[in-house]
Amino acid sequence: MDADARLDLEERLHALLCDEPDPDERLALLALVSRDEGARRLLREMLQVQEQARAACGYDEAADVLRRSMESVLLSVARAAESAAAPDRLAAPSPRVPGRRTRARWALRAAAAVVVLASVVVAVMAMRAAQRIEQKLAVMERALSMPRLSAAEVASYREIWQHVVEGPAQSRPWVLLGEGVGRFGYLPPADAAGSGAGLLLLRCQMVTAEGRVLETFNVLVPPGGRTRLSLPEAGRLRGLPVHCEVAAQTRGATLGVMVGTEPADSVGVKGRVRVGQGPVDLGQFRMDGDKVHVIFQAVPLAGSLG
Amino acid sequence: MVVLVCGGYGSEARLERASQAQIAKWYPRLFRTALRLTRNAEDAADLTQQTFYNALRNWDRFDGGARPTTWLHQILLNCVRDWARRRAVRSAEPLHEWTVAAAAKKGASPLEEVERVEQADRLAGAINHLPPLLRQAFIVTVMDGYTYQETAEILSVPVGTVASRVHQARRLLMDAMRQAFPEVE
Repeated sequence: MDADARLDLEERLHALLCDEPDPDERLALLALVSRDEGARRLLREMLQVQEQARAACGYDEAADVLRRSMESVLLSVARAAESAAAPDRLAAPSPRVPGRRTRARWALRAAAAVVVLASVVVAVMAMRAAQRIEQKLAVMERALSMPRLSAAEVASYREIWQHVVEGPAQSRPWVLLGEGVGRFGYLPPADAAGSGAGLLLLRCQMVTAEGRVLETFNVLVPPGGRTRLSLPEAGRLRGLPVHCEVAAQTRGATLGVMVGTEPADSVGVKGRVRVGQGPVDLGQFRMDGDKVHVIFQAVPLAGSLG
Repeated sequence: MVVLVCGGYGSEARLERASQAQIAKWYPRLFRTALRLTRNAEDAADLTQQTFYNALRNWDRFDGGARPTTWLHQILLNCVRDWARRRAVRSAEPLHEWTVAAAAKKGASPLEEVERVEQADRLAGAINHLPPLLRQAFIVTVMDGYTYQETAEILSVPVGTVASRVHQARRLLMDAMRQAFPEVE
């Protein structure tokens, strides 16, 4: 990232911390932060500097006073808005339609109350927006901090792959490796188009919001061409089977996971990543009251298989 | 209608009904500025409230030539000056005279507390020792929480200058923080 791009990104991220961007820009920034390690690191650094500097200069100690004082102003504004919305008490209602005027007045008051209530809710939401972003990023940061592939792990995958690739000539195998699960097979001829040396590792991890890994499974497929696999019971999550569908092409890979025994009771997540991209949080679902994040990564294990 | 705020900016500025969300967004920035200038949370709260009440009473005087926060900032500075005159103290004393009033943290041991205060003191010192132009941009933007555009208007410099100064200040402080806070990467 060159200097100008970095300054521009800093400005955009600072606007995010100020709760200023419009919804489109906010989403674009969050998406960028979720997929770009550099942007994540920069935002973390900006937050650290801001928090520590404010704490060092005693801003934190004044947080309660700030909150109370702001609530006081917001309450005054709400009251002012409410009284302004109420009709003039001196204006006598028409003797011919007293019921309608009274109803209108109460409807107006009720509407004003709703507006005030909604405004207060929005205000509180805005106050907490920066805090929420920070918390989400912290969770995302933890969730994405997957252990890097070790050389021994890569060597192990290559060795396993070497065994299955020596199967039928011209075949394109796949291998599923999980905790206590090991399966392999061969892609049907229709899907066997394309070629490429090396090996593609599709890694799925299910982690809690705190970053604790609940389940991991890896799928090894040949790179290039198109690969589409349906893997029932690719793993287990809290006693329930995890069904998985993966599709990989030269540049991208898609993962769909479904957890449960019956389709009606199952929960799942689906998403796509670029090959070579870092781990991506595809989404989350709730299980036994806990949020479970599905992290997916497509790692090309470059080089020939020999 | 009692409460009006500006929903636009520049020549397209227009007055709309109050948005409490906007007030909630602007209020902390002004409060932090007041806190920095008065170094007293209760005084800062009084002055920020006074700023908003003054602004809301006189919103028809806001011509839309600047951002609402810039206008509010100016009102706050006037309030602080009046407050300072009343108290016969100098207003807007430089930050290097800031006394770090780090309150005791609940559950911290005396040793942890001493270390925390020492670290905070070192960082406050690093902020105070920033070159003046960098410190000014850093305080308004990062500590008080104004956007780069608002800071540019408040300091009467281009946005690019704000971006550059804040970046440099942040770099210098990160270096200082790596010494003061070993856990910083």
